[in-house]
Amino acid sequence: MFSKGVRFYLCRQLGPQDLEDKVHDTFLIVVQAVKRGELREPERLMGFVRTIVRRQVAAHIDQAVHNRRQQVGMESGTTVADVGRDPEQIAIKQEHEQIAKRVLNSISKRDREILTRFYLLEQPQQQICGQMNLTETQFRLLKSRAKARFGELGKRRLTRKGISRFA
Amino acid sequence: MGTLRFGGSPESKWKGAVMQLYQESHANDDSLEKYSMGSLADPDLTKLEEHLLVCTPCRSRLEEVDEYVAAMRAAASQLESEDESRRDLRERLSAFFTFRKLAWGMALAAALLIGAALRLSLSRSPETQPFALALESSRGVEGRHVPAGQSLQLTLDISGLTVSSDYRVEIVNERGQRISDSRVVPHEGKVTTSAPTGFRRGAYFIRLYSPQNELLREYGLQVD
Repeated sequence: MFSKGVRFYLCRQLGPQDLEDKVHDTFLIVVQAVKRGELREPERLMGFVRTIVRRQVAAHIDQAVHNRRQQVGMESGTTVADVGRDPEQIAIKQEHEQIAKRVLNSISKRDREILTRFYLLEQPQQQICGQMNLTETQFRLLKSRAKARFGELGKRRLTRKGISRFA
Repeated sequence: MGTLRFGGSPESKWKGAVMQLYQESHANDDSLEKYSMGSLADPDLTKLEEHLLVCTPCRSRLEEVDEYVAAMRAAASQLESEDESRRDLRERLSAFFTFRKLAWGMALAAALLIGAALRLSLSRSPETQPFALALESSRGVEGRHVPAGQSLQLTLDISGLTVSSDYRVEIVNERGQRISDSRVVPHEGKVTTSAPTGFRRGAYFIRLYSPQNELLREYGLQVD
């Protein structure tokens, strides 16, 4: 029921490497916990699964850090998976960037500054609205217009590539 | 985000857990965008992540939002760096052209202009005085020599000629092509004509005619 969701989450957090193994491990943990009666409130199943997945991610990262520390100085080195994008993904990414650039170039300087503050500098909405004398509605409207323009320029809203191929 | 809903009776707990997959509402764009940018906090974060485990449409939308946010971030970054390099260039230019430097530059340019003007005027001053030349009647080009390109003032001796109210002076080059033709009035036994721009190198002949177009005299002139 939620294998796709687990796969999606794991892929998003850790990348596509050994994805099936990680999903399998997660399911084993969940099933064993349910069998042992550790899930006392069945209605909290989703929360339980989420917690397991998060712990899996944390454990994986911890293991990776540990391995890296242990393997420093080894002559053979370590095998590192290529998690880079394939040429198609790179082309799509570049195309999206060009479209976004056109969107940002087509709006006023002030609007561009607002979007830059939000997306690039990651300033909170409240801060931007306060400093730029904007209401929340104006802010949302600007964002949604930019997004709509992005969709128009790209002819289709946004491509469904990337993580979905693994989900 | 809507609140998660589960089945009610204890007997149907598991059924309720499954039912939630279909009953909860989808995540809104704002939540997905915040999640994508890593700024969504609990309890919304928990709710959304639990929802994403079971909702395929919201996962698709999240991917779209991820792509959009990444594209906007990259584009904004590129434009910012372009703006920055433009600002740098402007600052460098403005630093180079400070008021003091600009004043010095202008003073230097003015001095150069004045120098050039002075030199021009000094070099031209001798040429502004026309080269005065008294011509005597002769044949051939063994006559008087004058420098090329210099303004000339030619004085023609008319002594011994029939006195007339005016004369015609024609200047031709060595191939007989007419260079100038003018009427002059005699004064104290002489007629004067001028060539403000002078002549090119070569031999020239200055011919004096009576009012009846009778050739009276011809003078030779060699321009070097």
